[in-house]
Amino acid sequence: MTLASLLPVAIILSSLIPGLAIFLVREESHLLRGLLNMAGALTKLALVGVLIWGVYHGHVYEARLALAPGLELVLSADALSVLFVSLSALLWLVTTVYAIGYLEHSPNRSRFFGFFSLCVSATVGIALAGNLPSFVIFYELLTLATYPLVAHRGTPDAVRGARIYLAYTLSGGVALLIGAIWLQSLSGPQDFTQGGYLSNLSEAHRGALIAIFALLLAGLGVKAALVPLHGWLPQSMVAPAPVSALLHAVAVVKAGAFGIVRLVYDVYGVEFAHALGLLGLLGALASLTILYGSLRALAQDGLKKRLAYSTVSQVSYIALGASILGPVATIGGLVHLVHQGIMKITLFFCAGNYAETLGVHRVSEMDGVGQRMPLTTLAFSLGALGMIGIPPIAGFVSKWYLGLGAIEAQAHWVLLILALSSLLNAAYFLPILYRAWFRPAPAAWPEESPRRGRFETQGALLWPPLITAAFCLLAGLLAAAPFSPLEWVELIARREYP
Amino acid sequence: MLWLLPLVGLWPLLGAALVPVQRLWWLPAFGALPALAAALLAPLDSSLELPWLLLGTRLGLDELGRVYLLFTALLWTVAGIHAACEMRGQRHGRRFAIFFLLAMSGNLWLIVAQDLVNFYLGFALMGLASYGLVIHGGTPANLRAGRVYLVMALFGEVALFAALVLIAQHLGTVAPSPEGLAGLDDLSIGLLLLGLGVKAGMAPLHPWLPLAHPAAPIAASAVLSGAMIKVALLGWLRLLPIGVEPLPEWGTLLTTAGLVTLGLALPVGLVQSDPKVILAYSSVAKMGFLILMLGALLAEPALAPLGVAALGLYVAHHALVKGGLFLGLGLRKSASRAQPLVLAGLGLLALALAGAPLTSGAVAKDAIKPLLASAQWPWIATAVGLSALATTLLMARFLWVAIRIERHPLPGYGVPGAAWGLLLGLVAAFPLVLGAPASWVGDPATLIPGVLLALGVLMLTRLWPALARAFINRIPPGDLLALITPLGRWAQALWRSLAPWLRAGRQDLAAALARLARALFEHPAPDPERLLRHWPVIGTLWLAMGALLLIAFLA
Amino acid sequence: MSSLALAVTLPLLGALLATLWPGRAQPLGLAASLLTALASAWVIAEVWQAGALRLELGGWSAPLGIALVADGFSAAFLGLSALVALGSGLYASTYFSTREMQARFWPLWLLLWAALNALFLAGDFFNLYVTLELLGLTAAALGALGATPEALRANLRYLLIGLLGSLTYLLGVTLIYIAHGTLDLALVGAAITAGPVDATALALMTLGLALKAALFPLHGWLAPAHANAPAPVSAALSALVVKAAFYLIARLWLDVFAPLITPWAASLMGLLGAGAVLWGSWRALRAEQLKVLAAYSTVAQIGALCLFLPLLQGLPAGAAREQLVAALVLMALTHGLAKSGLFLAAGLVQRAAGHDRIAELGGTAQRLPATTFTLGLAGAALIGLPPSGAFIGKWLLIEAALERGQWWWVVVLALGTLLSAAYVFRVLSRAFNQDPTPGRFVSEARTELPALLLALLATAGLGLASAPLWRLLGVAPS
Repeated sequence: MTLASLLPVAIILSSLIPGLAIFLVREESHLLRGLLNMAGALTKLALVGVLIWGVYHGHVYEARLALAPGLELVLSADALSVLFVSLSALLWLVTTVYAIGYLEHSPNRSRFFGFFSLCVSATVGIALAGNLPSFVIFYELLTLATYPLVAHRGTPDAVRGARIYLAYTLSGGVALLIGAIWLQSLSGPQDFTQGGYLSNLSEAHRGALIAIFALLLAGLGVKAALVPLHGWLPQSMVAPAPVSALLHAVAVVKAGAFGIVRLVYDVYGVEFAHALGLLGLLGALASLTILYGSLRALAQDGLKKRLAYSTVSQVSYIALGASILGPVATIGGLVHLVHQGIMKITLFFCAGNYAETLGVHRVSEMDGVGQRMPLTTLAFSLGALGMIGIPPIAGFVSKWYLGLGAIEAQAHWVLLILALSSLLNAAYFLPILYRAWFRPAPAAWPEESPRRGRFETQGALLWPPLITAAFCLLAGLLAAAPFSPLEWVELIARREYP
Repeated sequence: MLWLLPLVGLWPLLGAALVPVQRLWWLPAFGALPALAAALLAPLDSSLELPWLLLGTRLGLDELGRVYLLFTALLWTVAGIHAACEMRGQRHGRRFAIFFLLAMSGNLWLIVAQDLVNFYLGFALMGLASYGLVIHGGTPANLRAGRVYLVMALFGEVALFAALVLIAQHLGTVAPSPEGLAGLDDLSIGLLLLGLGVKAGMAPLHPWLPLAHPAAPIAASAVLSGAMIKVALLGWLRLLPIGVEPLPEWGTLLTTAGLVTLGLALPVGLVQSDPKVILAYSSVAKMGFLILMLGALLAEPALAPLGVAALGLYVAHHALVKGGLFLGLGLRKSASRAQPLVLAGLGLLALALAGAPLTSGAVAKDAIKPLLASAQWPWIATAVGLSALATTLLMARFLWVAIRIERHPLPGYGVPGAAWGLLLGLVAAFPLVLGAPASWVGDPATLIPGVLLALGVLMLTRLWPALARAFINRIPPGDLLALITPLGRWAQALWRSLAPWLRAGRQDLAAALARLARALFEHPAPDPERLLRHWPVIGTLWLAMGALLLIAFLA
Repeated sequence: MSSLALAVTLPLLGALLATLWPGRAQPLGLAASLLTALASAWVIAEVWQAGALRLELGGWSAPLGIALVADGFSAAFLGLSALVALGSGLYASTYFSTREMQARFWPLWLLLWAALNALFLAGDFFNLYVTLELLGLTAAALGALGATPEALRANLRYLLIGLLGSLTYLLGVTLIYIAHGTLDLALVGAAITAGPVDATALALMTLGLALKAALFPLHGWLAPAHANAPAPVSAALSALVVKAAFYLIARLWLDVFAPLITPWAASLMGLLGAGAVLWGSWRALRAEQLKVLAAYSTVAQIGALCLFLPLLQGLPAGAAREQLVAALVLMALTHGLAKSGLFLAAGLVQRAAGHDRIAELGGTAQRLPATTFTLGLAGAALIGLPPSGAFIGKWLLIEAALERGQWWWVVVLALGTLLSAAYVFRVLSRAFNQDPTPGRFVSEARTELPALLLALLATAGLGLASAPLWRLLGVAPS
């Protein structure tokens, strides 16, 4: 095993080992647990830094383990994996800080942080998976690792939400598994290849390939919350805020979207998928999801539920980008992988802050929170405006490139979808901002927490949303600067469309 | 002096960030100073490239941009002084200051921006921040105005976004150039007209304007009606292929739209009783006039060099005058001293707006004459003449209302008054600086009949007050909106009658599912396997399976 | 002395000694367990190097003498029984606290192990019959150790059905002897013809073994017998005894009688397997008690293993067949380890709560994190989630089904997977409630760790590090 093959493994182990160790930590050992958490998160970040540098310079990092004949566990890092890995590593660090602050005084912390780390390990595994079987393995592991997080609170609601989550994801997992095996039985064992590896299969397999795509998409669509497979997501909102943040911004939903990207670009190849007529299907599903999610979000009073439906809608931008032929749309879709992540995690952090500090859980209770918690509300506003697509926040860049790509591909209807989506986003986000900033605050908050630091809430809760909100702003403002998400995604697109 | 350009937008932003500091209440007054400096000092037609910012940023000033920056910065400064003094120590005063500075930043930034993305950035920032200005008062009427404004502004922004993306795709870059804009397709042009048309108050996209401009505090109304509304024209002049190729169909369309706007806004404005609403309708009418001229430009590329300059002059004139009118109205309402001077100033501004000789209005009208002369239809000149007559009437109506306004004098309007005086001076000096003596006279042909007509109307209403009551306030501000509101109410009623059905259906379904789940899980059936443990059954199964196996092996 | 003989005689000797010194039964038993496990390891090591072993007992060669044989297939099962028996034995040494119970447990336990090892290593039909009979007797006796009325009744039924099974098997053996004059597996395998006699013999033997393997719909005896036995015994019963019967079916079908298998017969077995998967999983889902759930899950798993038979039928010898057989072994091994871990953990839960009614397990499950973790790991392997060995087995099984165009088995497997996920998580969800937080992860290392390790081996060990197993079975991975 060389150093180059060690790096992907080390990136996974950097959260796996602390995760397993945390299970053994006694409940009262705050310090040790925190130390393990932070050591893992920082190590991972450092390793990912090395990886970014290496992949940028064209180094190949690959580790292989034979599981069975024709079944290999492959970890390899290409530009696309780096995008997802760095997103998860960065946001994991922030979320860990937040989670430590959020759950400081709640039960079962060792169990929580253990599974939290396992969840990130699985996510990173998904990012680094070098072939479809490996992807499936980590994808299922992610399901397993997130289930305890969703059920963590232990209330009947939480257990119910977790059960629904599981029912959806495991069913999706079965579809994905069957699709992956069927594909392998046609193509033989293959690694992910830029441009796909199926285009030289014989014409006779056309029907089978379409069916396989549908199966795989069904499997991935569950996690990516494509309508009508999205039902689990609003239900799993019962989880603690850091989990929702992680679920929505980084881990679960993104794993599905990332899988769709892999499927389109590195398994089928976008041109071949287009030739099979599959992109139309994907685009239609994504558009439907974008509009449906926003419409449902409009009707929600629960803040987290509204955000959840917003996720349903926003994540499908990624699928939409993948469904349009051409490098520019690819850029728009992929960059939203990062942009949606940082914006949505900001929103969930803020929602968590309102809940934890003031006991505010519903939109209708948010009158005047801007006066009580101005910094949190500022971060929330940035995230929300970004979601609408207001420049210079990150979401604008995604929408701009999606629009450009759509026109390039002569798919003008996408502009209409984008426009409608922006309007709907505004319709469910702006009233929140209006309440928060302009309405008078009530005499007493539903359940104000006695713990309060120097600022409006504890530092560990305040800094993470501020930092991610700054990311949202910077990702948009410095979009054309080197090593910005956009620039990195352009690198991926250049490699995908030679 | 190119380094001044980034400051144009950043400085007010910085101010907005510092507003929460108690002692810095005066910040709004100084927000536009770098812009003023840049307008005077920055070199023309050179640009500052910041490739790492957004999707590649280019800042710069061309001739039109300088004119825009100059009058916009001037107006914001005067309004800023007014705002700072008015809001000092008021409830939510600092919130107002933040939104004021944010809108200022957006407005100024889009003028110096030479690329599509930054133009949109400024436009969006200005549009959203204005919402905070419109609803500042917090009354139900303010909130309604804000809602209407926000909904329409968002529609406009979304359409503009789509147009900009299309243009960027057409150009292949985000920095527009006249040559690159040649051959722009109809979809892009249509969306651009739609997107900016909302901001411009182009009929039928104008109903928000007579609601929102009066709803805001005076300083905000001044910049809304004076500066921000003009942005649409700037966008059109920059992004339409003007002077590159003739677009007669679009020209006709714009001309028609301008005429409709004029024809709608002036009569409706005349029957209003709130002076701010009258001014807002006058703004709509003026924008209609400008749209009419733009239509002529679009149809005839040869007019472009002259026409753009003329439009710039006209816009500058209108911005200063309209801003001055609003601010003067504010002084009329609130200032405790020097009311005769205020009234005299208002009179001067009203005359200027009506295009009286020796005023800026006369110069602006004179400049725009060649455009009018080349209009497609000969009767357009007549229509414009009629509109000038109506404008005079409208201004007379405004003065009439302003004089009889209910006053609430407050202390502390000395500095804003002085600033307003300065603005008046600028308006007065406008013809001397910018116009040849030949243009000072303007076109008294419409003014004198107008004044006479106004006097006539005054006499009539004095004789039969019922006549006035029959007209005044018969059309609510936001005219067309009154037609749409019932539709919304019907839709709501429909939804309210349908919702219980839907909800009941969903609940029935959920209950049925829950019953099924209970039937399956909650009452376990008696162990069905007991049967499998009875010896006769075991024996039978054993025999049957043996037989099956045997048959299968021998088959 | 040969390793093959040691693997059989050592546990026998241990059983004898434990019977002679009841007071020292536990130390003796543990020592014998360790030695037996070492002997098994030795056998595996030799097979690893030599490929196949054959030992003619007393120097008499077939057809006169009896032989012990070992190949990769049997070595793998030998390893499984060593791991499970060792782990369960360790667990039992704490689980049975009284000397009296220990004295009763260890001799039977070692006898069971001896029977298992002898079964895996037997080279002729008659020896197999003897080991089967011995296995049935000791299993029933062990199952009745708890001595509750239900346990006695269930295990009596188990004993009688086991006898019926062995006798049916014996009938088949008699036919073989009449037809070929020998009982040696290899010699019979070379001599069989596609005539009615051999077919009848195979049908009879399969029928007998199906009874013992609790193949649907002959599985009625299993749930009460396994659910009422003490935890370490249930673990061995479910993980080993039932698997041993299936091992023999696989031996006969894939090896000795392979040319006789008709597509009809294979499809029949597949169909019964499908029935077992669906019915067993469904019953497990509806089970009210944890151990009943585990028992029904065993029924489902035997069914899943049967699904390999129709796919292997007619598959010519070669890499594809070897791989599929290896996948079968991997799946069986994973299930064995996982099931033993599950039963051991269930025993701990039952002891801590005083009952094993799933609906009321909440607080207990949360109080015992390591045990719940074991349940989870074992559950993941039972469902066939990655990275367990069952996942890999399932992958190869589905691949084979798709390649052979028999997609209906895929549907069965998919449904089975979902049902098993439902019953596993029905238990696991009890661990999430608002009871107080446990202070530490492991509370009783001597019982919790063996269970955890067995489950971990099933989930991670056989999944990620299965390469040695492939090598043992003579398949080159990738």
